[in-house]
Amino acid sequence: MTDAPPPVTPAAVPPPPAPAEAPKPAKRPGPIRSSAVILLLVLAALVVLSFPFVIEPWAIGQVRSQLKAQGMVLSDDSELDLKIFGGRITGAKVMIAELVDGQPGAEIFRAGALTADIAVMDSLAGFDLIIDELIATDASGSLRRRPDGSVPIITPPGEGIDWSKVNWYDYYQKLSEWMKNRKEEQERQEEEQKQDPSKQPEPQADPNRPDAIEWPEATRYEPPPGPDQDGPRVLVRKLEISGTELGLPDDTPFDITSFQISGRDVCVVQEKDETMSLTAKLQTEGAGPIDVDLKRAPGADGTMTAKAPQLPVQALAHPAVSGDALAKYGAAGLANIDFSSSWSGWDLKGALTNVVKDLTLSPQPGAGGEATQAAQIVNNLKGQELTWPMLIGGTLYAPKLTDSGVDEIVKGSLGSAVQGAATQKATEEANKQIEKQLEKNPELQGVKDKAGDLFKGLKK
Amino acid sequence: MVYFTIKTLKKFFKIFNSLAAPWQVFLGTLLGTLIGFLPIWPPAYGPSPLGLILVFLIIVLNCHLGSALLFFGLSWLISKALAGPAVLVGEQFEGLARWASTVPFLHMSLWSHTGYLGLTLIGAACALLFAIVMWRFTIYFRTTLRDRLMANKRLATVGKVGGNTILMRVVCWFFDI
Repeated sequence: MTDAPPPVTPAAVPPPPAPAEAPKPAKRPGPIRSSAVILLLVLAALVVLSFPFVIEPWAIGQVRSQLKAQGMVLSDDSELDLKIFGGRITGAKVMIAELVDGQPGAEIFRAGALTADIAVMDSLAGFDLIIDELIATDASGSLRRRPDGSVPIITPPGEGIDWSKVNWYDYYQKLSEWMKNRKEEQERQEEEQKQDPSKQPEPQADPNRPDAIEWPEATRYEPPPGPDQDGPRVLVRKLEISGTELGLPDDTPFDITSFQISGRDVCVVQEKDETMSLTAKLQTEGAGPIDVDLKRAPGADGTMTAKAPQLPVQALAHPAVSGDALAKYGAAGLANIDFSSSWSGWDLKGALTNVVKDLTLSPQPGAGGEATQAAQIVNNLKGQELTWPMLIGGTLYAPKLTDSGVDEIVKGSLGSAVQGAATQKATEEANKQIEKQLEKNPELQGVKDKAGDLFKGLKK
Repeated sequence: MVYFTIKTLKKFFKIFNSLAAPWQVFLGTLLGTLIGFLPIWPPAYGPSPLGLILVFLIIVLNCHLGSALLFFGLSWLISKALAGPAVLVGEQFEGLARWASTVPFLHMSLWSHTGYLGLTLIGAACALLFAIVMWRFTIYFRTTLRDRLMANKRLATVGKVGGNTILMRVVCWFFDI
């Protein structure tokens, strides 16, 4: 007997496999990289880190090359710091000198501290350099004549002129006449271009492009020069400069010992929506304080006022300032000068009011009869206050006295002064005669006293 | 050098088998080629706004960075070789160069320089060409070629493809299949 096999238990049925999950559709990539922020931050950090080594030296090199193009050089000791993102340049011990034969020459400008906020977007919108705010403190400058007599920065082009013999007034005339001619030439060209567009200035190939050696076959075109500019237009929206010293072309009492200059929309080339204003408070070495206020409206209109309340007349008569025009009179005294002028186009209108006191004239030998005669009249005033109004006219580049104010003086203060002097002399003469009569007739003393009382009553 | 070339080639072919969408490859190739040809910061002239904008776009836009970098390098090398012809091209567009000198953005981007203008124009043409080719080939690879290669690889694995086994393995290695 065999044992019955044990009953076979049915094998456990494996559970049916779970249905496979349908693969998720691939996520469509978006147009913007989600990690771009991190990438940009990394890039920005790299750029910021590279500033002192790459961007700052490059930008400061650009500043130096621009100055060099204008015939100036920034000293190596100048400390300039540039913040590209803020568009701000800060500087310390900034010194700019003239470039003479490739070497630094006379110092033109120095500033202990300098801050310039550049309007980056506005500047990029055109070929302009627009500075929102320019502040310089502890500044000094010098416009002393060069050995040939010409003045840095403001000498107009011209040959055959002995600048050392040109006084300030003539210098101003030459400079403003050159500016006038230049402007008229530009206006003529603009008019021609309007009539004939083919005469518009063409971009010119730059022969001094920086990669001329590495890439000699290539050409780079520079933007055509604007109607009245040689380089980028510079506009300073807010200007504040204060300093301690500003040398003028010659060593005169007008040399400035401290100054504060403020301005709005300061520029040479003006746009239609800009009104330039400039005020200067100057303290001079020997000409007292001088306040100047200038306004330039768009177009060719403007006003200027200048006040010099304590101006020694000797300062005005300095040969460097007014040539021989006043020097021959040997004038001395103190003037309170109030000058106001306005111009429209090139036509100038203005008034100059001088209130002079303690005026004396000591003409030089050989000064001529006119000077001697003037000295006789003026010295007879014995320093009395004299108001002398003058009217100025002519043109901006050649101002002249349209009314010397002599009539006004005779009618006004000079007349009174002369009258006073004559009265005094007449009184002295009358008193002498009375004294003589009294010596002869002592009984007349009572009549004199009564007459004196009567005069006193009349004066009241 | 050979190793570098092989690695670069592998990176190039890997683009087609990447996870990037074809339009990303297109954009990466386009922008990469452009920044390879266009000046970004030539030492003589300083930063070029257009070049910097393109770099910014490569970072921000979701393009395929691999193709952008690869075509940047490739185009930069080509641009060095084409410096002479670029001037000839630029001179043909002298009017454009003169006009660009009056537009500050273009002037600063060196379009007024006949050499760089020529490179820019060649770059624009090449960028479009390369980008379209890469885009079309990516689509072709992913819809047709990849399946064939994978099938051939399977066959090669079981020894069904006689003489082309090594070649097939090399091709698949390049395409990262």
